Amino acid sequence: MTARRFVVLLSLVTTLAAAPASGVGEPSHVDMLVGATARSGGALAIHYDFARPVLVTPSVSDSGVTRYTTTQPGFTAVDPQSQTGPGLEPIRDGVPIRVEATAVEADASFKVGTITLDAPGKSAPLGTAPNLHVHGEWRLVLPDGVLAARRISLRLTTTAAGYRPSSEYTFVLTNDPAFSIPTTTTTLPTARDQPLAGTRLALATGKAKTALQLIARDAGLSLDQGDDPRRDGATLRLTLQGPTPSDVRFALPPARWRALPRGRGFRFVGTAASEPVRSLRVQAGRGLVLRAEGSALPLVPPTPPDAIALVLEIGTRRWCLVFSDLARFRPSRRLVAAATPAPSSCPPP
Amino acid sequence: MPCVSIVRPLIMLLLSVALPRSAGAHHVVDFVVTSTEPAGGQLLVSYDFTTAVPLSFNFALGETSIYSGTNPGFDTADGDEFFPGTSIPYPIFPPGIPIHVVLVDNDGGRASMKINGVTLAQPGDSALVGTSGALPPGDLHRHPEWQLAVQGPPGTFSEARIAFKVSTTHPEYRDSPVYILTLTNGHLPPPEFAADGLDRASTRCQATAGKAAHAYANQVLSALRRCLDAVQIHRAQQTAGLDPSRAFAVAERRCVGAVDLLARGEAKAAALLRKRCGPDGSADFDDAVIQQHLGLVRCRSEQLIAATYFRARTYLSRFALAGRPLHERFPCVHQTAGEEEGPS
Repeated sequence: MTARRFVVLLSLVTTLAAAPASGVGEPSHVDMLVGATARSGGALAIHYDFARPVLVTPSVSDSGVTRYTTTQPGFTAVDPQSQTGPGLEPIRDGVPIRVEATAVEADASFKVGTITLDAPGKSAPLGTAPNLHVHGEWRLVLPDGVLAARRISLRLTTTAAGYRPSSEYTFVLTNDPAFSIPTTTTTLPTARDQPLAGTRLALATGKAKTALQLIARDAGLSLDQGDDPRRDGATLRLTLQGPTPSDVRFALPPARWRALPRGRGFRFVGTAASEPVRSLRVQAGRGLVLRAEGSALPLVPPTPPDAIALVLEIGTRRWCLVFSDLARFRPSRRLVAAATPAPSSCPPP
Repeated sequence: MPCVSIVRPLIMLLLSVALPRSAGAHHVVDFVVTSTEPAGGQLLVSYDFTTAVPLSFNFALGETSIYSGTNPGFDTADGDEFFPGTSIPYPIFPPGIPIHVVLVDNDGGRASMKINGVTLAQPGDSALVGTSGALPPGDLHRHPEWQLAVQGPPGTFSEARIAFKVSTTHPEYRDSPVYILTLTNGHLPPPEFAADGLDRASTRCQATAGKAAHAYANQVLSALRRCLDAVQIHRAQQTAGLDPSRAFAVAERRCVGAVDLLARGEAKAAALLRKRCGPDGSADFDDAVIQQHLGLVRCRSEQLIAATYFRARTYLSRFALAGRPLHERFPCVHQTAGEEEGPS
């Protein structure tokens, strides 16, 4: 074949190969998505279905002991170009990410590269955003024939400025294909849970007290026939997740509740000084408005929280909101959370 | 043009193995499973097979040390990816193509791979990687566990090759060529630099690693060169009908002496590395990793000598140490093709 003919052929080949392919693109895989709660900062976070156990399979058996392993799931950074995990923002380019074991049950371990995380405090580099893609080896070592489940809790850390460690995530490793994580530990929504979209949350700490204002305009809020706080009262739970966590619950006694006109909902009015919730309006088709103040409320933390969750419980019914993006933050003084969509599920009770 | 149907797959085939992968996305470390044609042809695995896959110690099984790793994995191309160094896009599979991996050879059982819960440990073993277009976890993105079984305690350097191909039951596609991947335990892991200021301990460790590898490689090359140069003089004297006995004695002394010389050189390099990189230094490498790496340095140097001196292995086998042929002390001085033919 002459050189010219080969060039012509190569050109034709290139043209043919450049023609649109007839197939479809691959779907996103089953890995954990690694991102942050805010653009260019915030807390590191993982999006994954933690209610799904990590199934390990036999690898090597010797002397009555079997090693079970798997490489799924791996870690993949949220793609800044095309992909966003629910509630996750891409991590800034060049940010190094590590994974650290915070709790490891006996028989379980996680090998990342050359490092085996088999005790709390051990950590290994995962890589650097945005090209972070790591599959480790999830491992269980059990006597032959034993079916079991063991837990490993991990968190993500970085030395980069502007980012905070993630919350702790717990993985359940099992060699039992029939194993399922007990529902009491999952965050899957139940029929009685209603996640709501949040409009604004402000928390301010003064010299003597903290004030909270929350507005959730969500037309989807529904009240059923039996949802009447005048009968058994209600409970309000406020949780701050992050480096300075807090978790407080307030009882809202039945005597303080009043029905809104035309059966649209209920209103709580706190009158005693010991009642931090000053007013709470729950209105079907409109949403929820809360005002609270007092020393019983959590203080604004010195570092930004990963998320602020609020759960209102009336009987067996729960309404919840989770704010993860901060619009403003002044350490130990004031924070304002931006509007947030309804979470996929409510936090566990 | 009929030639196109021949040339295009040929080019694809060459591209799939000849060029290193371009950077970007997670395919940097993964195989790209593709084909020579958009909806058929020969299956291909695009990857730089000239690079060895570093594995790290996992566990000991009696007298055997098991090393493992999870890269490279299998994946398919995204729509906007090209064969490395070209503007030729990877053909994308239509949905529903099941891809299997078939083990062709595993270096006498020393190498294996586990994928989707199936361990491929014997030639002919196969497992489903995934199916194009399937939703996870049935998709084509899978990371196997690559395993290297080494006879000896941790610290024993070893490499093994694993040969595999990909296949499918779909009638429009043919099996891929056989690909050979080298698994090794001799690579040093990357140092971990501290974030609170310049990490002098780790930078010194890395510099020492380079220096020690350089010095030890020089020692290996020098010792074997001196040995084989003396052998060449002996051969030349034989050829010329001169008395070769003195030259033989010199060659024997140098070649046998190389064993002890290199043992001391290795110990010195290991001590230096332990000081800078061990628990009292930067704590980047443990003893076993250091020993394995020096084993790699020695092996590569021996390979270079074998390429420089034709029949090096045969010459070494003429001498003995402690009743064993000397070439056994230099396992990476491999036999050269044609070495067994002709006068030595």
